[in-house]
Amino acid sequence: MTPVLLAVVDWHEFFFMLFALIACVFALAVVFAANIVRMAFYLIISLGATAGLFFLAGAEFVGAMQLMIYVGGTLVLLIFGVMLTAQKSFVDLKVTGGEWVMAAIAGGSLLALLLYAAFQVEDWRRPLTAEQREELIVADDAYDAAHIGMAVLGVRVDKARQPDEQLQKGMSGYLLPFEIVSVHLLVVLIGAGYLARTKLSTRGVRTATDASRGNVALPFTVKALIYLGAIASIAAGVACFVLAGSISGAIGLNLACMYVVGGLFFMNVLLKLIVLARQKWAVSALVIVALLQAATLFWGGAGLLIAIGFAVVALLPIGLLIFLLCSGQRSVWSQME
Amino acid sequence: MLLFAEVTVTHYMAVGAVLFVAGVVCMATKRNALGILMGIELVLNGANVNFIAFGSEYLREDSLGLDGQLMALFVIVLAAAEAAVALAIALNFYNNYATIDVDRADDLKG
Repeated sequence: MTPVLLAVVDWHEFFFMLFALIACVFALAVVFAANIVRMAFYLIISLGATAGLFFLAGAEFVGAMQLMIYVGGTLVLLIFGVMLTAQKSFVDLKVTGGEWVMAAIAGGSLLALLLYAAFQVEDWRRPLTAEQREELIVADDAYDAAHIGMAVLGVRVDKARQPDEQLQKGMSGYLLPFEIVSVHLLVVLIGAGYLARTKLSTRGVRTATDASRGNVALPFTVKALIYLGAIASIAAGVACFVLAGSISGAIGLNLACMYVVGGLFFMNVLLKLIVLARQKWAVSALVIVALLQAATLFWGGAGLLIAIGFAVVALLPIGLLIFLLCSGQRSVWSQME
Repeated sequence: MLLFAEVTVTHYMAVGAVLFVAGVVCMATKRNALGILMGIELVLNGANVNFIAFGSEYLREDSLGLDGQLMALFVIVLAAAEAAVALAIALNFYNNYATIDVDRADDLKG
């Protein structure tokens, strides 16, 4: 079965979707997270995923530099800054509701404009044809670090590849920007080092204290619901894998989608355990996973009715869980992380 | 549906747009100075994804080629330099005012 799976999946598209999803989701997580340390961690993951996108697009050197300079340098510096200023009261600076609305409006309209522009140009929506792909494989002269090194020293060795005469004349070396950037880096390092020197007067507290954790134990009903749900999800996931053929035949579902739904059941179990560890994001992730399963059922060919029925059945216990968590004078929800 | 088609420049531009807008919203809403800095990093990465997509020979016949990759490289280097200076400013602010909340930086307010 494995060789068939390797041949059937379009791996380029799979990896692009993987890296793109990780980059976008974690970039949005940076926006919505309140805890500054978590924001830094999500940013690292997002930028690592964009390095993966660079590798996929054929820019291996830039991807490697992204990982080394950005993730391994700039973000480590950022984390230093976060740790130096992570006093208890500054770790979770909240944003008011009104600001969120304005930011959502502005951000949403900007995103709509950019996506509209991206989809407008026909030339950008056309992938390479089969002959062009053939040429690429046969030619085998991809850009690599040697080309970039020579270009940065002023010699464009890829000039010969440009068929158009006029465009060839415009291909200049990058020696001047390289020298400017080098001097710029030197000046910036000296300046930043001078700016951030320790001064004699010590006004302002510099010690970082731990954020105190709310030690609330989850009530019995919530724990019972989570354990029952976990057992049900394990059973459903095992059923999906063992009885894959018969179930998918019965409801007319694609076999691969059956495995995806089964896998999502196991992810459901994992998320429930994370909810037991009092993490807030796991609850929203539970809702998203249930909706994903319904969507997979629908796209796999099971029909709209079955998909909606599944979504309702899956979301009912999650709704009950959310209700139990948020009810009460001093709700458990407010004390989760 | 575009989601299941071949990967084109438009896909990369969509990712770049999401990163860019996430960075802009981060810069606009965060009260922590380091949160704003993270927004700046996201914006620059969104632009970089666009540069790399147009410079990729696997996506377009007449791509930018090396120009796109070199542009992205210079953006990375300049972003690192600017992050260093911004961090120095933020740490200075924290040392002098005992807070990292930018809403407290209102000494010049009329």
